[in-house]
Amino acid sequence: MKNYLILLILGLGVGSCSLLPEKSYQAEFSELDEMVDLLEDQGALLSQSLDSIAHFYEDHISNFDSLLSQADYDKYLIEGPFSSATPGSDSSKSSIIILNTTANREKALKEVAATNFLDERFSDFVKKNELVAQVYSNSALQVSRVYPCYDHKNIVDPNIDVTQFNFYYAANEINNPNRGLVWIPDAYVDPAGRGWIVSLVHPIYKNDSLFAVLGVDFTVDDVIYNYLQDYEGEYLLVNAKGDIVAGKAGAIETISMPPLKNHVYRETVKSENFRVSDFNLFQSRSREVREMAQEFLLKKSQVFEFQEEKSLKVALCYPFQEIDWYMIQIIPSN
Amino acid sequence: MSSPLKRSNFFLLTAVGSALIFMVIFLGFSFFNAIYQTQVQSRKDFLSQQTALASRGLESEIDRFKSESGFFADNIADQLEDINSDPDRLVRTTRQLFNAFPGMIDHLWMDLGDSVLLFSLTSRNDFLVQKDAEGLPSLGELDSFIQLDREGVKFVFLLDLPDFSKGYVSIFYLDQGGEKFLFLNNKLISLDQGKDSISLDPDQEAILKAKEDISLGLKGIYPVSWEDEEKGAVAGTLAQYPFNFSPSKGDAALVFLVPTENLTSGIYSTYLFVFFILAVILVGMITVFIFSLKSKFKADRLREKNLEEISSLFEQQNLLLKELKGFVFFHDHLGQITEVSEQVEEILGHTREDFIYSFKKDSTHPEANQVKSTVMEMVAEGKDLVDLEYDFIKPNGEKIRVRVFTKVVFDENGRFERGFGLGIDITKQYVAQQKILQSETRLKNLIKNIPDTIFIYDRQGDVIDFHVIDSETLLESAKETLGRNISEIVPHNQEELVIGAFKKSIQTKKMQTVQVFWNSPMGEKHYEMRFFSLDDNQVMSLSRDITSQKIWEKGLVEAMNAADQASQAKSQFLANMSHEIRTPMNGLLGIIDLLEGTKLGQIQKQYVEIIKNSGNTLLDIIRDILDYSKIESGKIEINKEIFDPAKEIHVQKEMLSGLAKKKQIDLKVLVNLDENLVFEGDKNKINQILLNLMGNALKFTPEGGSVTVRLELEDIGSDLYFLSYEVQDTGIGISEENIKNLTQPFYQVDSSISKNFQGTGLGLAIAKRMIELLGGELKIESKLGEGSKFAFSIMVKRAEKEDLASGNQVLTWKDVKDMGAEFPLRVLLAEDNELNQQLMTLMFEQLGFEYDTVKSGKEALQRVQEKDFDVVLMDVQMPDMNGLEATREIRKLKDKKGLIIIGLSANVFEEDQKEALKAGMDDYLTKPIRLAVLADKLEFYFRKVRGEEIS
Repeated sequence: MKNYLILLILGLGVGSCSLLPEKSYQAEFSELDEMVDLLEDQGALLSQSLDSIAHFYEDHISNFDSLLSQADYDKYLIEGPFSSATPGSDSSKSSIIILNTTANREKALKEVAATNFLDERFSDFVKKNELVAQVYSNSALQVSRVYPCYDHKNIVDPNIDVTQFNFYYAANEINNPNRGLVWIPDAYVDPAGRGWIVSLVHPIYKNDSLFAVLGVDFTVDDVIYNYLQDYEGEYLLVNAKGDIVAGKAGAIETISMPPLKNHVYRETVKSENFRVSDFNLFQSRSREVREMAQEFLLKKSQVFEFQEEKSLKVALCYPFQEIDWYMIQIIPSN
Repeated sequence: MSSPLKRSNFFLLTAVGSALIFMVIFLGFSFFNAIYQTQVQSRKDFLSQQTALASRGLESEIDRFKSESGFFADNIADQLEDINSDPDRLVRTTRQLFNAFPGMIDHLWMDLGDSVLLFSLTSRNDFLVQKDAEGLPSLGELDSFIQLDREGVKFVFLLDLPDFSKGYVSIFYLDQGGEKFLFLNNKLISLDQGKDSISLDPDQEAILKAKEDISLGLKGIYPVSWEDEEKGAVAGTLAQYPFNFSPSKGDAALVFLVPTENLTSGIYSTYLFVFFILAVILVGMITVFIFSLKSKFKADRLREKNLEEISSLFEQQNLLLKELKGFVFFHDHLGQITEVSEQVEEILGHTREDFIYSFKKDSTHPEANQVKSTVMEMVAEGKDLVDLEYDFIKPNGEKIRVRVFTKVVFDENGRFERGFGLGIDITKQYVAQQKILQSETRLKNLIKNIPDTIFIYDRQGDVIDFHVIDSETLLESAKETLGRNISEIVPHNQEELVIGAFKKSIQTKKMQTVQVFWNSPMGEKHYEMRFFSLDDNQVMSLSRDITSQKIWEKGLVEAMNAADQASQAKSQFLANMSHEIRTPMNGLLGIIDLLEGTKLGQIQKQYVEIIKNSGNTLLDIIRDILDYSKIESGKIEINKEIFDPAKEIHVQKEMLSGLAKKKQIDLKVLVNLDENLVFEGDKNKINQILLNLMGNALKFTPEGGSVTVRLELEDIGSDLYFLSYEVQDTGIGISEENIKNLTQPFYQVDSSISKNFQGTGLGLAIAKRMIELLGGELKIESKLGEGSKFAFSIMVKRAEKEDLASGNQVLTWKDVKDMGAEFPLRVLLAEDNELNQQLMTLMFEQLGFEYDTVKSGKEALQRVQEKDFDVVLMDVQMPDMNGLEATREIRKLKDKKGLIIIGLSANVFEEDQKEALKAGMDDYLTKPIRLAVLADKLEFYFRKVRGEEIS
């Protein structure tokens, strides 16, 4: 009997190599799901706040003539395309541009006066939501109103056509037939050093034609980091293009990205020399990470197992519902 | 476990061991290979990581430099005025930047508007500041520069990345023989200082691939080879990691190179050697293991076998001890018990500890000490085997007999050393032995006191032993018989008989008895010899002298024979006499019957009546005598039939009612019986007894008295009952003395009284004997002058009423007269006696039947064939051919099967009647033939014959 036991043990020893079970990563996915849900809940809260202004805006402009009759034409002094207000000078004013591409400047001037009621709303909105970087309205008549004021004279080329920008056309009749809220998937890095900005826009219709697009830019770095810090593990938040919107240093460093400033991605993003393109998954030094990006973003896979990268075991990807973003967990091999 | 199985186990283990060795070697190689691969991989990984780390670090430094240079430029621009007033400060600040990134800045041009300053740091660490007359360099000619424009001042940094990198990467470790390169602007620049550089062939595939990857911004690791002056062709691994270096237009990457042998070096030396040593140890271990296993198996086998034997022996010994009721003990030379088996507790009732303790040196245990001293005494006598028995009383009071054997062991010097032995409870055997002894003693005493001569033989019949009380009774000297065969000592001519009995006693194991006789000088001597087997080997004979018994028996037999002959003669005489008397009586009584039917005067009638009564009485007397003689000779039989006792008792009453009426006696019958009950019993005998008792009662009761007959039933279970009859009269009574003799034959109480009463004196004797025959007892109670009571009980069996045969109708005299006319039967009478023939013809005439007569059986046979008859009345005793023979012949005739043949005979015995029926007769009439009876029979057969004809 003892002898057969030896044989059995030997057999088991040989056989056990191939008996390891495959992992389904259920626990990891449920955590990813939870994270994404929390972030989307946060997004939903932001949406609701914008939605209320949008309704207010639409209500008001439906009585456009009466607005016009009561309008304060003197609030803004518009020289050429730009209003005169400068950043920090008057918290009750926005930066207004009547772009050269406007079809009717006279009409546009009237529109500015008629929509001055927005300033107070915008101001309230910014005060109540600390994540808000700026709130704005770009109209079909090429009137741009941005609160709070910024250095629009130096930044904006007055010859642009605002309707050609995604924060406008993403909400138009064609792209947004539902006429509801739209998240702009292409986040951008704030040149003023506030990190990643996410835009949410809402079309404003007047007499069933698109009057303007109301938008708000949120600074999401802090929010996202706060969430990420609550979870153990290496996470990346990327947009549809593969840009890393947020991520833990460990995750970014292991996927052969350029070095981080002080090993913190947030700081890197806010640094002077930061280029978004450097921190794109498709720009990783690792061929395999680029393959992973391809699998996740293009082929919509959810699990990617690393073969070449010895320090990496697997990556899991979980998409957002409301915005074309992805939460990726990098699991190192040890 | 059997040895083939063991052997197969051994081979299996050897095979497993060998397999293990192979497997371990295989595993070792796999393990080594895995380690090798892992090592190579991990070293490659290490190389990659080092490259990545260095590259990323360098990139960080470059980024930092960009920031710092920016700050520097801002600073200079801000403090331009101060600088103009303090040129040293500019130099200091600038030098700080140079020092912060050693080797990074090759030259720095600073255009301060009025002049262009050129800063540089020599390899000897001399910081040079010159005015560049040529102004700012033409940027188109430069590579790796940063231009910064600030208000009032412009900067152009010419960077020497290779130089900076040399310093920077020196902190990154690389395996021996490795080299670090910077790839910049499509050129590999060695970063190792003071070393012969490896010259890679730039056109080899790996390098081209690496370049392509770098251009795509991808890191990579590649196998490469190069020519070494000393070693010749060297294989190596190249790892590269690109980084951003925006000052340059071309791609930038750090490239680390390691020769492959260095990657793998040490793996063999460290692991392979260890593994080899381990494998050798393992092989050695397994070899030792197998050999030790083999010897262990062998030893195991042997031990197992021994163990089996021992345990089997032990079990057997235990069983034996249990069966024997014994225990084993060991003792030393002092008689102290050193060990004792556990059975001791069961046998002696003392625990092992107690037992051992009681044999200790200073023990005061009396029995133990006694045993000890006995053993010691015997040992002192030089016995080495001690066997003793003694009685032992167990703690529970039970007395047992113990037998002890001790084997004593002496040492070399002949000194008593130790011993061991067995104690056995032999109570049973002892008791049995005692019993046998007693039994033997008893047997001896018995034999001693048996008066018979006893011989004991072996199976061949040779005398083994003998016993004689009185040796004189033996014809030969007893001693001479010893050893002689039985055939030699038995009387001559009787050997066969005696030896036959001897052999039969052996075969059957039963006692065989033979009688022999010797003709001795004292006359004929008779012996009864009884042979029986004592056991399988011995036979005993008891010879008893029965000479005197023989003589006595002889006399007795002769006397008995004489008595028997006398008795038979008496019976025969009685039977003959009865027959002879009956024949004339037939004529007499028949004529009287006929005479009664003629016209007679008053006196004539009285005379006829007297003659008739006398005749009847005579007939009764003859019948009684016959009955009694039959009872005496044991010829009477019990004929059981089903009857209704109540009805029968009334019939008897009816029969006696005439006499009762005549004497004015009140005859009462009291029956306490369920009307529906019928029983099986000898009805006729019961009726005969009853009739006798009732008749006597009426006879001896004076006129005006009363006779009461009672019948009671007593249930005794399972359908058996006692019918209890009682006949009580108010007669003259009988004295006690007379009661005793009352049932003696021919006894009559006081002849003076009995004169008035006719009778043979046989009636009561017959009744008594019949009652006894039927299983009952006649009880008589009487007081003189007051009356008598006769009672008897007879056991009967209950029967079903359906089985009761219906009785015949009572025939009247008138019926008889009309018979002839009514039943015209054709009758043939076969009768040789003239007188009887006349009588019968007269009877037929009176009855009015048609009849023929013949005088012999032969004639009857002939007549029957000539003429049709309904009935033949056939006398049994006839000359020529008697009635029985004639009947047989008639029955042989074809068409005479239905002919009614009624036998006529003076023989009244039942066997005669049976004989007649057997011969083929339908019925049987005893002589004297009475007219009424004849008429009754003829009527019965007429109804039968005619009834058949009519139907």
